[in-house]
Amino acid sequence: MSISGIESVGFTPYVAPQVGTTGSTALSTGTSDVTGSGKAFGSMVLDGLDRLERVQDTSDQLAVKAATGDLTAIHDYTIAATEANVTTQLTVAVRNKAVEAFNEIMRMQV
Amino acid sequence: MGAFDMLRIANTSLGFHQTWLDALANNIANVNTAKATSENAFQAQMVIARARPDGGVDVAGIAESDPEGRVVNDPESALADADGNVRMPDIDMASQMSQLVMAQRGFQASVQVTKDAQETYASALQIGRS
Amino acid sequence: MSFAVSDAVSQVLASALDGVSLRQRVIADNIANVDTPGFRASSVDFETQLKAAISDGSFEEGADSVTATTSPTDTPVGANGNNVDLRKETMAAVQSQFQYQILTRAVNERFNLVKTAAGQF
Repeated sequence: MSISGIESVGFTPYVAPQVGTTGSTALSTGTSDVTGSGKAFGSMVLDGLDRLERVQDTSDQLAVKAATGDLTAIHDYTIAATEANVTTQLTVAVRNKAVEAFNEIMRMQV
Repeated sequence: MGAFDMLRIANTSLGFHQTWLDALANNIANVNTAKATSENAFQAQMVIARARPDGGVDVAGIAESDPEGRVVNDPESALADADGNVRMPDIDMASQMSQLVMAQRGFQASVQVTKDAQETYASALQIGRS
Repeated sequence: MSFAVSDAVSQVLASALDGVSLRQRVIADNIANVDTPGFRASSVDFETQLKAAISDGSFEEGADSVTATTSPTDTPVGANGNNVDLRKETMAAVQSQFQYQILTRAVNERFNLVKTAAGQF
């Protein structure tokens, strides 16, 4: 879905990434498939952080524009601020779940 | 700030229509102002509008009506000349009254635009506020 | 003004908030004196200085480098020497009110980001 109005200000719509698209040969390829989906998850996390930084930067730039009186529309800033807020919350939630999952695995009695 | 253009434009319109209303009120008040034939008649003022390139309207100038006026025979008047004539202004009351309605309507519409602008800004500020 | 999260953007916002408050005070003063004979209206400008300070990077921590300037306006003077244009001042009051709201919203949002990140762990 493309939202042309806000894309002009520098946003990229959020597309949920998919992990491990080589799912058809899951069992047969054993360890190599695990590494494959592990890499995909890792790059997904880094992409998420990149995106968060971009979105926070856009919000900061528009806030400075509002301060110096160069803002073309109020909604430009408020949409950017909301996106930064929501993206941060999402990233923090993912981080928390990841840490929880890690702790859970460490607690497993082998 | 570009964000407040709507408000700025509405404000220029308020200023212009106010000037127009003032001129019309002055014309109507002086519709019976007689002058001696040796002077110019009372001249009605007409406000000239010009659109601003950055949005809005400006008073480009004020045009005045014919200084000749109408020569009317009124021997009783204190200003009457040897022939008993005075100069009356060349003002068409009907036209002035209909312009008055137009100017008032324009002013009220601009006031409404001002209110709408404020509501727009307020709702833009509400985005993302829970 | 010092913030817990003190960085360039917070400094810019703090400066702008100071500027807009001063502007609101000056506008209130102008409106109050709409009938005072001989009174001349003033206006506040902090945006030009702020923009200049940002572009040459002289925006340092704690530096009060941006001072708002109050200068007399050039509206025509009426019969009693008063040059307050009530319509212009009213519009300016509305505009600076919204500007203030945008800036306080910006400050809030930045703090919220820190709160979210530091939040539950």
